[in-house]
Amino acid sequence: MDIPSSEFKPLTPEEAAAYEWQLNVPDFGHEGQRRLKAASVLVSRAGGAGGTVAQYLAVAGVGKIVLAHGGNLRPDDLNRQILMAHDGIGKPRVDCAVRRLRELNPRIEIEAVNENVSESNIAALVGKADLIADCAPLFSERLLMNRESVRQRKPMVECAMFELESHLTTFVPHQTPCLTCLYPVEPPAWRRKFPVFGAVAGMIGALAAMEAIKVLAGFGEPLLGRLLTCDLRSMTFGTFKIHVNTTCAVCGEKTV
Amino acid sequence: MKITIHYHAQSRLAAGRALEVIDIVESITLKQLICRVADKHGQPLRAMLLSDVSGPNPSLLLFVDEEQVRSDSNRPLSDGAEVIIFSPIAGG
Repeated sequence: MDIPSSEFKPLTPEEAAAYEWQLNVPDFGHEGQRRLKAASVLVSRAGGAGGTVAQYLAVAGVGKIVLAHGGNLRPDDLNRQILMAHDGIGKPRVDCAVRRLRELNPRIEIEAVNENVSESNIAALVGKADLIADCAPLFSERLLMNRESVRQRKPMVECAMFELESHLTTFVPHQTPCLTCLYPVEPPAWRRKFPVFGAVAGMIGALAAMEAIKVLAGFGEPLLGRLLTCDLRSMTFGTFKIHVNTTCAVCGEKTV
Repeated sequence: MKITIHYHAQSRLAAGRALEVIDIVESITLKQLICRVADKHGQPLRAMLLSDVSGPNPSLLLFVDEEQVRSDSNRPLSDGAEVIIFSPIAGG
């Protein structure tokens, strides 16, 4: 966010005390914290990865989190959806998630949307946020968020997982590739239900939260034009350069 | 020449292995290699690697010696090339 730091509200003494440990991070400090306080993030959805993203954004003091996740909690969600609890089974997932986030940090604003992103709500949802955290389990939702991220020129942190593997990158419209540059068509073999451990979701969600914090606060080196790949089966981590597709239907030259 | 293929995510499950070394006599492009391993393994890997129309699935994320390469690349592969196949993942 290219806004002068004088535009951001100061921290209250109580906030400064609450965030003291991270205020001492070099290059972050009070200015970074004020930037987070002024920032808003759309998290879709609040599952294994998304719930972890939301959790760490909340405790870091991001001013507003818009949480979009439809449907009711099921027993088989609980191996990974860390914001949920057994007493929430049968109730809206987003209500469970918001309750936990408010317990973690009552200073921030949380908007609960009991819907998944769709063609009818995507423009409004992205319009409420400075950054998108894409943690959706379907490519149809991911590609929709990507299109709107490019249209509204909002950065999108992209995290994904399967089995013991995960991917993470950060898209900045017209600076980096976008999701459609990587996946020009909806991959037909992908299914909503996939094998995964909660620990894999939590790991990539925590890394995604850190990416969002860096982009919002303007420090560090986000994964721009780089894809982080993690294989927890062999504990192999790598980063690969990824390139803009000049013929991309979403961000390609003809669409700028 | 020898080409090493690293399979990831769904393609690893479909191939039943994480790594495969292919011995090839003639020159081969990435596109031809993808088609060849799809034919060699058959289903379900074939459906993952190839599109319904013809040729490699455009949504495969492919790297040759750590450089991203489009699935329809006609660039010849060199002896000792390391090809990484990331089938798309979206779990969240």
